[in-house]
Amino acid sequence: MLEIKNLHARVGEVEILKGLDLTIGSGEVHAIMGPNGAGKSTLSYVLSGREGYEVTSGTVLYQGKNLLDMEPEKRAGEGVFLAFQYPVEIPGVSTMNFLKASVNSVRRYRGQSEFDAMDFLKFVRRQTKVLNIGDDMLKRAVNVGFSGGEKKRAEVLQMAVLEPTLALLDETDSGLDVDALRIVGEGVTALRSPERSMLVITHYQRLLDYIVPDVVHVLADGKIVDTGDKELAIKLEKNGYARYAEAAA
Amino acid sequence: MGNLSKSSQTFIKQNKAIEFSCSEPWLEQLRKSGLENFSVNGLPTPNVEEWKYTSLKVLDNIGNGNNGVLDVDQVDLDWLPAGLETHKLVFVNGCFDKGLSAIGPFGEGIKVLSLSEVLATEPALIEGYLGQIGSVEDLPVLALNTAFIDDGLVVLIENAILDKPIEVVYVSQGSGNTSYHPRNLIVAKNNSSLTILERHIGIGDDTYFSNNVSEFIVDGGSYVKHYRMLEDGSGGVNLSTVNARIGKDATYDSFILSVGGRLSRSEVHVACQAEGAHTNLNGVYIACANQHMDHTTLIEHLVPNTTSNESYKGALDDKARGVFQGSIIVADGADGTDGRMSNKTLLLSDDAEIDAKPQLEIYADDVQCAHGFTAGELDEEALFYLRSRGISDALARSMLVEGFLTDAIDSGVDEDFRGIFINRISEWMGR
Ligand SMILES: Nc1ncnc2c1ncn2[C@@H]1O[C@H](COP(=O)(O)OP(=O)(O)O)[C@@H](O)[C@H]1O
Ligand SMILES: [Mg+2]
Repeated sequence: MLEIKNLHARVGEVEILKGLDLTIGSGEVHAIMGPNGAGKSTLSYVLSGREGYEVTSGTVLYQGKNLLDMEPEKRAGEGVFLAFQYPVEIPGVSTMNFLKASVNSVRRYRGQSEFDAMDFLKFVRRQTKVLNIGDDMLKRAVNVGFSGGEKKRAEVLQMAVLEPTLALLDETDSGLDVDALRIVGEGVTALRSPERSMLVITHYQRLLDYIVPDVVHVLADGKIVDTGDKELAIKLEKNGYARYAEAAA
Repeated sequence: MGNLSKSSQTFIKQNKAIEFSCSEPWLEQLRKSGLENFSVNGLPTPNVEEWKYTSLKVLDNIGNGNNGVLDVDQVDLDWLPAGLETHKLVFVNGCFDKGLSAIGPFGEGIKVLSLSEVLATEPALIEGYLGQIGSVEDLPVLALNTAFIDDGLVVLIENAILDKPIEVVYVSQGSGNTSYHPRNLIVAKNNSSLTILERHIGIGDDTYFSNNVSEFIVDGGSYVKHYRMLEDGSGGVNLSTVNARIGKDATYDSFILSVGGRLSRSEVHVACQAEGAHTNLNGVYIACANQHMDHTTLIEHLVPNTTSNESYKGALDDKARGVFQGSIIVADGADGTDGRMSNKTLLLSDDAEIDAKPQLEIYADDVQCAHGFTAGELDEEALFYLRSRGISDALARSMLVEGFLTDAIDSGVDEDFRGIFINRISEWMGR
């Protein structure tokens, strides 16, 4: 599904990813944990094609294709989805219109028929219920005035309706209280399927209670420095990343 | 007079030759003061500080011809949603057209009619009001308008709430030298309330010059909401001056959408003259090709405890040029003033340009004043967010521009009229 080899990337003059290797199989859920500033968000931006994140060497194959060659919108069409750590506010664009434009864009790309307004509403409502999102939220401008929890729920809603093959979740659990975490955790878990791989970036293993990862990686100083199973996540939360920081230094 | 522009000289000459139908001495005096003041410097040039960014050179060859009657297609006049009832007044090249208008009946305390009719029947009704606000010495364009006072809109309302909005449509058709100078007077007193929907349109691409002036006296707890849509023809030059005087606990709110014309300048001067006076000035400008749009405002807080909130937003494409000059003056002793001003412009092409000039003059101690100005391109982060959701770069850009403008409409326009302006913006987006 996804094969990253010796990935080096920089932002401006600073090298942030320094030879990262990662392979995710179809339907697998991988977690990435690591200290602040390790390069986790940078990895998610490189994979989704954000401008200014320059790959200096290495390769990324996604379903056998060179992902790095594609424009961001093409990657989305191909099934890559990023749930942002900090979702962006878009004044004046209602969440509903945004969702519709986005779903119809990827459907067109995938050769599926586009939804009209009525069908789209039905389609969206199937997902909003699980995520506890009311129509009121859909009428509001994208992320404008949303609470932290609302923003993260809206990200999961976008993931649900865009039906990705590879979902990257960047700290979708941070800043949530217990109830919001449960909603988001259950929402994401419901989207787990044999055709869908996930890369879950998180600081805490509590999200991983809902969505049990097949593999857990530690990312420190731009590289994967350790790989294990769910037990590794529990250990990391208890002991922190100090020993990796030393190893990296 | 020798160094005045050709058009200024023409205006002066023709003004002297006109026989106005109403020649009440007070009105003659008013026109004369206008003409005299205009004659000193004529139309302003960029040498005048307030006109530094807006050149009226396009008017060099304009005359004062007015072919008066034109062939107005009724379809061109429809701009409001079906079901929205109004009192409608149509002015064709500045002259009230009774046949195209439909007003009344009105309840007690309400008079809505054309200025020409007031002057023909009861000029005394407005003698104490007309020409009372705005200084013909400082505003040459106002002086020019004053010299030609003849027709326009008059609203006098006291202790009453208008049942329907007043719809005012100015239709222009140029013939290369068409100029006209409508003068509007709106007086709202004693807890009155009214809404005005004003629209300027042009037929064809010929040059014309609309020099319109509105005086608003809003007093004693009254509320006036003034909407304007400037969609003049591609040769239209529209200079609009609004002078508003706000009294105790009264509010003058205005919203303008500027989209048409070759050149437009909307100048709004508001004086908060008694405690509790409040004004909201909102505007949106969208320009392309070689359009020039100028929004110049002056808000004066003259006494304690008055408030103002001003926000203008625009998008400029191609070689369009925008000007925003916003001044707030807080007079000595006007404590408790709260004045906010912001201006945001999206520049959609490398050749588009905005000149923004904020000016705060504060002579009181206990005030809250803030202003913010930004001009630039679309937010890269927002663009990436949309594209990461599969939306093409082109669609993402247009969604962001439309969203930016929609947001501005939402904060300046009541729900009832939102669609009118939103639709106009969508139309512009799809140009
Ligand atoms: N746009 C940027 N400009 C400059 N430095 C950046 C930018 N984005 C990230 N960085 C730097 O790159 C490093 C990794 O950041 P990030 O990928 O956000 O880490 P993480 O998500 O693991 O906390 C940090 O040192 C951060 O300061
Ligand atoms: Mg991060």
